Amino acid sequence: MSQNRINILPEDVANKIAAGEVVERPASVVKELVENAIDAGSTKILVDVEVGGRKRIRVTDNGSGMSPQDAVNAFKRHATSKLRSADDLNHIVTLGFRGEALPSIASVAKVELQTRTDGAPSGTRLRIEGGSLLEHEPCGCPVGTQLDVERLFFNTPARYKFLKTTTTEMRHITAHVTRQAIAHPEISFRLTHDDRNIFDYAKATDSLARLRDVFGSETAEQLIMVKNEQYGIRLWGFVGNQNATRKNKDYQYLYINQRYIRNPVITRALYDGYGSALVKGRHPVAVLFMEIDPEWVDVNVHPTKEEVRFSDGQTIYRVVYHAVKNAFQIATESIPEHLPGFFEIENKDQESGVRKQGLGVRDQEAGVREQGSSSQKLWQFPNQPRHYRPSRQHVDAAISAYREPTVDFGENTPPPADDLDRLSPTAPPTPHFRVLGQLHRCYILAEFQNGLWLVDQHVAHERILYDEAMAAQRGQTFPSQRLLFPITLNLSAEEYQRYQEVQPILQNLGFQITPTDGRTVHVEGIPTSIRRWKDGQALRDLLDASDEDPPPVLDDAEWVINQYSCKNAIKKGDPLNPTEMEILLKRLFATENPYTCQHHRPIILEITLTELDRKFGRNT
Amino acid sequence: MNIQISQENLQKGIQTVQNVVSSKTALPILSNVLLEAVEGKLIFKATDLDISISTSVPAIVFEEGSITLPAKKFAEIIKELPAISVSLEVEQTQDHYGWVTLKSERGMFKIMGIRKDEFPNFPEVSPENQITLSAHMLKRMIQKTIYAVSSDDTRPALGGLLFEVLPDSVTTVATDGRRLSQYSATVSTSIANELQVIVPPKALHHLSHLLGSDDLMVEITFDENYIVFQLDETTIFSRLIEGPFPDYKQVIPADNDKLIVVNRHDFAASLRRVSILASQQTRQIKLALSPNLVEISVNTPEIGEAKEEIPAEYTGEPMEIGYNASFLLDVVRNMDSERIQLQFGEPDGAGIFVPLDTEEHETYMALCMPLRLLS
Ligand SMILES: Nc1ncnc2c1ncn2[C@@H]1O[C@H](COP(=O)(O)OP(=O)(O)OP(=O)(O)O)[C@@H](O)[C@H]1O
Ligand SMILES: [Mg+2]
Repeated sequence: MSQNRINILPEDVANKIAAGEVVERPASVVKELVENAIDAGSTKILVDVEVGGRKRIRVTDNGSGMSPQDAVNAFKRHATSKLRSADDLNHIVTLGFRGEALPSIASVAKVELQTRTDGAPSGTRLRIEGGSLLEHEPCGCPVGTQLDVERLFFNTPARYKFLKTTTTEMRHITAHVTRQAIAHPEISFRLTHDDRNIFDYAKATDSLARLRDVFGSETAEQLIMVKNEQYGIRLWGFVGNQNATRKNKDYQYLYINQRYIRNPVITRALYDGYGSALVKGRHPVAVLFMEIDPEWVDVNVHPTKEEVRFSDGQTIYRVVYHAVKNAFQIATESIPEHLPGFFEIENKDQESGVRKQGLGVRDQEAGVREQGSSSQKLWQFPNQPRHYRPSRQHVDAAISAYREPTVDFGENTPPPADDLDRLSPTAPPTPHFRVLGQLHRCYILAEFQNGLWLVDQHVAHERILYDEAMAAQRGQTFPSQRLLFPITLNLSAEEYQRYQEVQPILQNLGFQITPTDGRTVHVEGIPTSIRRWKDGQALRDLLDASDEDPPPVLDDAEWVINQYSCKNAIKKGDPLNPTEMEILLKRLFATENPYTCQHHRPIILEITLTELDRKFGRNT
Repeated sequence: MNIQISQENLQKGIQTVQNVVSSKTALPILSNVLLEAVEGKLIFKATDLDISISTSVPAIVFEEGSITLPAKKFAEIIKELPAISVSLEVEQTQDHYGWVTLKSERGMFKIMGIRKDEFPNFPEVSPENQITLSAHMLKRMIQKTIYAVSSDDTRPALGGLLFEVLPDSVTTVATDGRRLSQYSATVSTSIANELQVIVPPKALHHLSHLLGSDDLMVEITFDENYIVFQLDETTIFSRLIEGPFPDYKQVIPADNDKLIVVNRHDFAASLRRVSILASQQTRQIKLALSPNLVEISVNTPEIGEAKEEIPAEYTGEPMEIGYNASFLLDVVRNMDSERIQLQFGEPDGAGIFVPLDTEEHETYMALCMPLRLLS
């Protein structure tokens, strides 16, 4: 037996380990290959994917190409043409620099490379499988590089097993290529899946032109330009106006020195810059490019290079914050300020978290107002119309105030659902209960035989809608409420992909959607269960992809069903009248499981009389 | 300030403005009512910053002046006073406060008030665009359309009632994107250019309390940011909702050619009965047209089915069309005509409901988008 315990890992093992970090899923391969193509100075990049990248990923570029020797070297670990010494690490200007990507990919797939440099009489063809070089020969091919990655994870079954559905993987791939496409309008990008075009962006003259292709003209028109140059940092880009907010962070693209990154400091600054313009729970659309001396940024934090560290986070915060804030002030000058300071006191519950945390435009103004001369009244009526939010109660109150007793035909609401149960032989018997009222506009209180129920109104409704959506998935169809104002929506590539995947469910639920051209759809009818249609935002919310963080666990259908039930459910804070509460409970008891929701949270809390008696120290 | 006033007048004044006072405001001054004594009258003012109201009642004024008082407490006291004459005197203190003494033969109340300085100024509106309507007509305009106002808070413009004023008519319109109601009265106004404003339901609710007698005349002023209703001694100011209101005229079909006349009571009664078996989620019912007949039916899996026929004047093609029963019930409930005409085109298109027996000078219609029937 040897006394030495430490072994130098054979290269193929080391590569496999590195692959674990670099190559997480098909999208990582796409990302690395596209980055290499960009580093090689290409002006045209084609990405062809088959079966969500499981079967094949092929990236073709018209860049510099590689010499026969470089082609072999490229697959050696830590072989890179982009870095020569440790000192260079402080000046990284290329996307790649670790020399890890190609060997990592080649260790877990079957790879074929064809490449030719300008001026070389012929090209080179290489075939590598699971890290071993099988073929190396001259060949005829155009200038540039084509990498064909077949059967990813063929030799690592554990990884293969963790791949998600084709559409989910495809969505990740689309997201990665989109990020690069936004940063490089000067390069044309085409992405296909199973021979179908997902997008084909022609070379664009500037970023805005590219964004019009990527986001659709609808969203592009809502963008405001931002710009700032301070402390040696140059920042420019676009942020969406108040009407262009999204329900997740998917439409946020941050770049440093043309590298897509994520960074909490910058994100924070972005949100703070919006201040009160951002409604709680909404997220801005933003594309920000920053040019910073590479010495200030550490991109070598994680193998995927998406995380960055700054030597001076404060400075970058300030630059971003002021850029966004200024852009907003200029853009909103013509738009009336919606609420003067004092309205906030009455409308606390509608406030966004961001707004409360200060630094917003509003807070500063309020400060100014308070310091103002004392002869000026604190509570002036603002001159502009206020952004009035209708409230159910006001509408209801007004309707009943004008209802004339002589023309009233009696209640519009259906009779107590008790009678209906008796008519229905298959429905499970609904336990008897009596609604007592609503608690803090959040819970329904009901008396039942053995005590008291507390029902979470949101989760209860969510459960009902979830069952409905599941039924739609199984093929049951629901009628469609036709819209008086049909609308046309411009979907992003990712949204459109998801739309195609879940289109049958949407249709069964009652959506009447006709694709027109490109990624545009026309909506003429919606499910009767949609309470807030929000001019189509309700549909967009179902299609918005947002499984980046936390990691994806759901496939598209599950995602849509979850979104549908959660987004359209009655919210905490919605007032309910007794009839509505009764109907809600009846419908809840008609669901498969009225007691717990699909996330295993309780819907009904039971407090029995015995429990109450015990608590009150009453002996029975 | 020092005045003599009857309990009855005090009561009338405070009652008129009290509803506007917001109960849960964090700004104490807004839960107060402002009293201003000027030449022969006492003016009451209240505001929640969205809506402001003022009214005046006769009083003998010895000394002019003003003070604000906690509205709720003040109203309770007045309500419990016997029907007598009382004197009301304000004793200003330094700082922001003042003591109000309310004296009758039998006793006295001393309440702490806040000086007027803190109370918001009422908006100033330009009297340029003004019209006058009878309370009867105004009430009808609102009552017949307001049910279709949207309560979806994500589309503010749909959350109010549109007032559209032309030189020779005043129209109200409401829609929630699934249905629409429109009422027009032919009246000559002095408005030269078309005018569109969106009025929050809350203001109309407060207004309803004041539209008591039908032949009262109401003067309405349209300002850029406010609408003002003036009735006798009372004025209500309301902020407007920011537009634009969607282009509703464009979506009202002009070529619906299937015209059916039914008795409204028959139609309503059948709808009510049949809809008992409609699904609680979709509320779907079906109308089937055939010569001289409308069949109203429902078939809800796991609940049951029903159908009823009502006589109708109809000579066109047979057709089936699905509806949310609640929408149709809202339509018939808000009409008072004996007969109504149903106007249909395509089964997927908007259905229009028109009362045939209307008052002079009015036109009214309701529109509902159908449910696409399950195949
Ligand atoms: N499409 C391409 N065109 C031209 N040369 C390429 C191409 N792809 C790779 N190369 C060459 O192969 C080398 C290795 O690529 P690889 O992606 O493994 O490493 P890298 O890009 O240098 O660093 P990283 O691991 O950070 O991506 C590159 O440095 C480059 O010289
Ligand atoms: Mg690389």
